[in-house]
Amino acid sequence: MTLDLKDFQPVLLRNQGKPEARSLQAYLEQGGYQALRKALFEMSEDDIIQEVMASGLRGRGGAGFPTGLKWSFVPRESVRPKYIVVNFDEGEPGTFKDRDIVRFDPHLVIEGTLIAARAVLSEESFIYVRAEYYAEYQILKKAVEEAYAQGYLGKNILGSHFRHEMHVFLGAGAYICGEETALLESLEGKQGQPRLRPPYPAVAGLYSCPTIVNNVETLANVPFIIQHGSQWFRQYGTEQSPGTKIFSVSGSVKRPGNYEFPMGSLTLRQLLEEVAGGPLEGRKWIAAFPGGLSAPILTPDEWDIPLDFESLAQAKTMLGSGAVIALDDSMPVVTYARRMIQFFAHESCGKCTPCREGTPWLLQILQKLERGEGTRHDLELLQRVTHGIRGQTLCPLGDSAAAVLQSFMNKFPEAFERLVQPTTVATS
Amino acid sequence: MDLKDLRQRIERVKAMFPKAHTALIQALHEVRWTYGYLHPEGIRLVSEVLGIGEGEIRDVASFYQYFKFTPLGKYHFRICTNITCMIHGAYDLMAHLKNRLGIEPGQVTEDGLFSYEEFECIGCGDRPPAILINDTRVEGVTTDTLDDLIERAKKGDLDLSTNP
Repeated sequence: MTLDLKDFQPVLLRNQGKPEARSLQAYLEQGGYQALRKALFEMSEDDIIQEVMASGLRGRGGAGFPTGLKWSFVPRESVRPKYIVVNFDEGEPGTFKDRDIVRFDPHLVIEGTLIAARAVLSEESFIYVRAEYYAEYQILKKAVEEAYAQGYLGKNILGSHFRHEMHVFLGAGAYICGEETALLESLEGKQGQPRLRPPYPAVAGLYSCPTIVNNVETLANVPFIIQHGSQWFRQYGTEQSPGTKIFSVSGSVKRPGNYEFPMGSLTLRQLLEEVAGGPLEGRKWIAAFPGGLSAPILTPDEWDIPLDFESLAQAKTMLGSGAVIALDDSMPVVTYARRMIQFFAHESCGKCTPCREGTPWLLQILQKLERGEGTRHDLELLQRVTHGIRGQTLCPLGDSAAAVLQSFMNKFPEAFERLVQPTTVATS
Repeated sequence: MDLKDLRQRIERVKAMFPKAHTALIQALHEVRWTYGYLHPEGIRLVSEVLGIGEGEIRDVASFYQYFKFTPLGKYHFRICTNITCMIHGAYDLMAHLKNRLGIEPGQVTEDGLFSYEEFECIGCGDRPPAILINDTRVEGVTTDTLDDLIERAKKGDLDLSTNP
């Protein structure tokens, strides 16, 4: 695969680096809110959902669930209120894509949300912003105020009799609230612990009412799909992963940042070497997380893999949020593994025993290995505990912790073995 | 502390959301921004205005990292040490703060000005290592940056409103 993307113009990041583009006026000058007009005056609810389904748009928060299908699950005939919840709790380590969409194009998110609302007849929405994004929270609040003032929100939007209220909500520091049912709990003023599913939010979500939870990047695609059609959207990406994707590249690279490309148009190696400029000076790469800290790592020999949902799934990892973190040889492998587990142990919500007890246990064992006090038994214990967590929890947090640690142990067995050798020598 | 002002802000938050419970976390932010932490007086006020028991409020708040029940420094540093920032020296920043301030994470300096804690990813991997001072992010931080921030804070000319 050769990297020839000279003609490609970013779609979602078209205004990157231009804070002046974030005003409603600037948005309108770029053709903003035309898709909403189309959705309000020229399309039925079914038309909108059909168009999004035909586009093949898949959720950009990590799971990759087809967006149109998600919308179709909402019982529109229900007399209960229906809610749209925008997931801007961008907590997956290494991810900062939604931050830039909101920073430079907040109205794109508002318009996408309004179209989703129109499609399922929702009159109220919430944008859940992570506490760490206080600056973007302010940007969104201002954009929502502008939209109210100009008749894009509130009663009788653009004279259509369609009404919609939008709230901006600031989270309070909990990774797990990025999981959609935990997010809903948090919006209901509770601890952010995931719910047992079914029922899914589309049937019983916020206040037990039908609710769509969509990621910021997902919704930012919607105005383009409605305005230009699903075929336009499908000019980018692959059959199974249509559209563009923003990759947040960080870690050991010379040019970290957000880069938008058509799905599957480049490989992990091209992204890291050609786009991000190679490893930090004097360092050597040892591995990379292809989709955030929750995605099992790939070693450099595995990097000739196109960046799309299905290619990464085949390699037993995932595209996730599109956060690529490159690791180099400046630190021991076990230190990376320990820091990764430290994150999951800290963020485990405490609801499911295997995750609540298992992740701190893994952390203790890895810290012991780091101190050089590990034994062969500890390596076996790591395996046993990870198997004890996998598949035994309500949400993917514990699963990810276990799967990612297993990827470290499978790909760098000698790094773990080395740490237990002193003990072996002492007993022989 | 001007309780009347805080009460008004909590009432405004309550009016902005369809249910009192949905306003809870936003109201607790108001308390945090007023006292720097969840002062019992603020919790009582939230309880009164929203009609939610103090026990329930404490139970919910205890789940979230931003809500603390003991005072923080006037300037609270949240140091991201997740993998990208770790590769770029975040733990040197932790060690530097410990030395410079003479306190452990979670403690407050005697003058009440500073405290710090190890934090997870704050979404700034493009300009690591990154930290938050109260709610303001500072990126590409070095130990020199920290010294400068501390000095400016001591002189009272640290502007925490400048963000993108």
